[in-house]
Amino acid sequence: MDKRLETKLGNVILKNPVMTASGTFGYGEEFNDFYDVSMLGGIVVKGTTGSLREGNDAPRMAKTPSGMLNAVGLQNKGVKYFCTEIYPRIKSFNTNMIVNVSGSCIEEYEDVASQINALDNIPAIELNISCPNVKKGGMTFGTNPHSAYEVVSHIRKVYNKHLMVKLTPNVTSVVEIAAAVEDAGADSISLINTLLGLAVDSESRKALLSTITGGLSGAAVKPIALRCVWQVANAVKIPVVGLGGIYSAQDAVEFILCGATAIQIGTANFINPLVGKQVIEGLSEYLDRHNLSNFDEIRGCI
Amino acid sequence: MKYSIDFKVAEKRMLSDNFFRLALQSENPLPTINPGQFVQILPKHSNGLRLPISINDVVSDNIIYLLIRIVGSGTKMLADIEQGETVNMILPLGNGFPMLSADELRKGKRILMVGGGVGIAPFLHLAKEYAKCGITTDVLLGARTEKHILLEKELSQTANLHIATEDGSCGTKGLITAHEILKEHFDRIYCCGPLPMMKAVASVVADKSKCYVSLEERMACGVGACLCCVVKTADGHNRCTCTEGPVFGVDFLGW
Ligand SMILES: Cc1cc2nc3c(=O)[nH]c(=O)nc-3n(C[C@H](O)[C@H](O)[C@H](O)COP(=O)(O)OP(=O)(O)OC[C@H]3O[C@@H](n4cnc5c(N)ncnc54)[C@H](O)[C@@H]3O)c2cc1C
Ligand SMILES: Cc1cc2nc3c(=O)[nH]c(=O)nc-3n(C[C@H](O)[C@H](O)[C@H](O)COP(=O)(O)O)c2cc1C
Ligand code: FES
Repeated sequence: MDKRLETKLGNVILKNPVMTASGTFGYGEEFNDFYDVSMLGGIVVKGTTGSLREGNDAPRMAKTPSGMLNAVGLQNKGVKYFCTEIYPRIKSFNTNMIVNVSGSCIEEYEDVASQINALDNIPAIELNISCPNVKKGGMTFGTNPHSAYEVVSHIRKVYNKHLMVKLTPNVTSVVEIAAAVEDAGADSISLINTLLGLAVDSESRKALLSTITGGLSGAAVKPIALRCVWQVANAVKIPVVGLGGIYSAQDAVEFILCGATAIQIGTANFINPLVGKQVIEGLSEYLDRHNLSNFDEIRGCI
Repeated sequence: MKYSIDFKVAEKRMLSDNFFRLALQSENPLPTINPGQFVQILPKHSNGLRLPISINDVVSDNIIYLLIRIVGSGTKMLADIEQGETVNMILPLGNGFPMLSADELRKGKRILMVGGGVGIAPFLHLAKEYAKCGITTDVLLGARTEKHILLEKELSQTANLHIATEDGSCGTKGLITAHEILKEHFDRIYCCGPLPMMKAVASVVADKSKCYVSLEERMACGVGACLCCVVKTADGHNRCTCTEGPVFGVDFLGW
């Protein structure tokens, strides 16, 4: 383990800044065959809601140039099932297991957050106010500074560990939302969630997703993600976790240069199941090559 | 246990039309592969997603075959690979075809496989596994014309081969679902091909509980992490094709 990579998100210690993104890494177990996922700085598990959700109909994904669209729609078995069935299986992973909390109304977010609050080995939640694939709630909370403030301040009252809030890039001013979320008591901000997109098959004259629109992720979104991280990191005091199109250690360093304290890897896990491990190794190698003692020396230098 | 393994292309053979077949060799022995399992293959120079492809045949402890139809950019990239080049695959994925056990097989049971187009791919492996148990299976192949029939030689060496072509240029003329053999009694029927064809086969077989189909949903991860590949089952729930399938009982799907 390379001590130089150790990072802090508020009171949460990450052994390195590399986490995996919600909805792309299951509960970590799915990738444990490929490498010991406990070596990650953190794992953000699937979006979890108050009760069982079936999600959207198939087809739920479409390939796009340098990326993909998804319309999963928060399929999960609900917070109760998570606490009784999944948590016991994953709590022994020796990394920060973070639960992505979703809902369609403030009460649902509160219900999920307070149940997760009781789990000893979950040091943080990531409040998802940015999902573009559900009709109610989700992104609608994250596109307006007032509703973002409201939901975060409610959760702040019922959740007393590290509260990370995940923002959407589908807004006019991401800085405005970030400031509202910071005011409401968030401990950190992660961004970006997917961008609203659409793919069409000209031959069949149909949209490729059952929901017509979906969330764009992968390499295609990286420039937008870097811009959002740079803007927000310059505007708030709380740490920023950057994600969107990270496929390699170079990509991760780019986010750190734009001000990210930690990063998350999403879509790249589908292409290269070992990417998490390789990014960690690549970050150590970068420090060696540039003669740095840690990433604080270069963080936010753009 | 699933693995990410580099394979060398031992052989590439272009077949009629847009089909090709790859023999892929790994340096080390492969894990056990059951008929009907698939790989997630990463085309060289691609920064796109992997493609799910059925395992067509396993010929030694380190060589597998894939049969692929070029339909879009990913499969086109795969077709550009040359002998001797390296390609990465994640395998073995999914649950294969549930086979009748050796005990059940002794009583003269009959097995039928129905493959449409590239859907024939997993059946060479399956027919060979049954042949190892001393069972000669029946395989019904459907294609548009004689030119579109694949692996005729390989299949006829291990199974009783039946063919239906739409234009009658080989075998019986007409759709695969009209073939007489579907009226005979079978203890297990396996089906793989385009969705409308599988649904049609499922609707003509006498006993649906004996019929299994292999689904081709769009996939991203292939390992149960993204929930992109779901199919709605009879109980109304969405289930992952990559981990709970790709083979499902027709009853379970509620077709
Ligand atoms: C478990 C499984 C096993 C498979 N086995 C084989 C196999 O042995 N041989 C083989 O050739 N193909 C197989 N497929 C299908 C194969 O994965 C797709 O054809 C391939 O991913 C298409 O990629 P592309 O980039 O070339 O096409 P794209 O550019 O993605 O698509 C081109 C066209 O093909 C359609 N298409 C894309 N993906 C699929 C799909 N999964 N099923 C049906 N249509 C699709 C699109 O709607 C579009 O019209 C399998 C799929 C699954 C899920
Ligand atoms: C299939 C899929 C499912 C996702 N599910 C969730 C989710 O449940 N909650 C969430 O906050 N983000 C979800 N995301 C968004 C990712 O966590 C991430 O923000 C986004 O994909 C951008 O990062 P990337 O380009 O590295 O994938 C999902 C993304 C994908 C591709
Ligand atoms: S393809 Fe990701 S869960 Fe099946």
